[in-house]
Amino acid sequence: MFFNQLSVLIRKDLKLEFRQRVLTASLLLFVVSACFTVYQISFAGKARINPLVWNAIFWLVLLFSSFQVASRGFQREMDREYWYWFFQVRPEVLVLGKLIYHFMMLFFTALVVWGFLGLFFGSPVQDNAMFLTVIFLASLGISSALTLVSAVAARARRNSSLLPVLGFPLLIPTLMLVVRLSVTSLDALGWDMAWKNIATLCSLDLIMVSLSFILFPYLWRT
Amino acid sequence: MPKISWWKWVSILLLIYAVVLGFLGPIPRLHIVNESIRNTYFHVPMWFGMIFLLGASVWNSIQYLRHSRLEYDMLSHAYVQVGILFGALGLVTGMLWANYTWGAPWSNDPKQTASAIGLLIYFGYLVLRGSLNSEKERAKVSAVYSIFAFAIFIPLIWVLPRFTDSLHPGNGGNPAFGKYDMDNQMRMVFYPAVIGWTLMGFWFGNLIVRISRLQNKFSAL
Repeated sequence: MFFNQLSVLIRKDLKLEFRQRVLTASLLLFVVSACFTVYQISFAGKARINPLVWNAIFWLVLLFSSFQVASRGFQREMDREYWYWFFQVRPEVLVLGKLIYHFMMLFFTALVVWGFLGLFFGSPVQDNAMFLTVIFLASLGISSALTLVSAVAARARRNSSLLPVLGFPLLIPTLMLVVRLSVTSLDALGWDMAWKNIATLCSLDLIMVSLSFILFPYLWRT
Repeated sequence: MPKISWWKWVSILLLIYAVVLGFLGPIPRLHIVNESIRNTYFHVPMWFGMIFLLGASVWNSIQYLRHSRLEYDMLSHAYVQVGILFGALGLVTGMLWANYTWGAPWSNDPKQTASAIGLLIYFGYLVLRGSLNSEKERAKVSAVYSIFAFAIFIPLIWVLPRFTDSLHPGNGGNPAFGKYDMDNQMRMVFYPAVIGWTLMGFWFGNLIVRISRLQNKFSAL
């Protein structure tokens, strides 16, 4: 029952994404133009982009894209279609479905950002497997924090302005861990150097996922 | 004269004791730190007070979600306000001290960073409250946010400093007040100061709650 509903919800979101291609297209356009803008304002790559700077650019572009991903958030479910979803699914399922959907979108976005920054600046990543792991865990953390925050912002009916204000400070801890980890993977320092931070990132992810799961039902009932 | 409950007297007496001995009491002579070690009695209790107040706030948020009584929301909001005050004072006293002992007010020390993030989070909480109009809605949504934020903030404050070396005393071979430098005479002032400031913080919160109760009463008339 639970997993049935969950898979239906995720498939519904992905299908919507696919049908209304303008949504995915706008996200892609955001990412591409962000990468291109960064390329231009760094004098067409003539400014010295060392791996640390590349790392900062990558996570900045991804951070701003993540707000783009989450900004749609629960608009549909908490506004026009509220009563439909209210009677159809349990809130736990709804939030988990949305979280997984946000995670998939963000992971996909991260790959696109990686590709385009690689196209413009070249990719300094030496340990691809570890970088992928870091992207995976980071997407999970960012999307779980932003899923709950977007629900909070949707309740306040000021989604676009509240989301960054509430989201930024909550994401700093995750990002501080993530940039350390991704520098480890840029320099291919090996898993021995990384496991401690990976463990911490996993536990932070676990805290955020489980708290969104626990807290969302309170936001959902009116 | 209005009756003052016993714990407020405890707070007043402890603070008088801590302030007098804090400025006049004997301290160990340490290189660089010198007399500025007295900041321990004022800066560190701010952090303890902030953590206790924010903890109390989250406790009340949880209680609100369980029982939906607006009283809990009022308490939670009041403790956040005092917590922010304590946090800001802790940051400022720390920066004043750091200017003389570390050479700069801001050195991006992990504990400084963590506390700045904490303040950002709780300013966000106040903005969120400001943008919700219905009382029940505001109580519920801000309770959810504050629980979520607290659960991210606490691991940050305790765990992240361990990943990079902190300039703080007791970390990375810096002269510490902590284990080996804070002698028993200092402890005799430090712990009463922590208790006194924390109680004072709860007194502040108490006053804020009483003011908002009165305001509610007046607006109901």
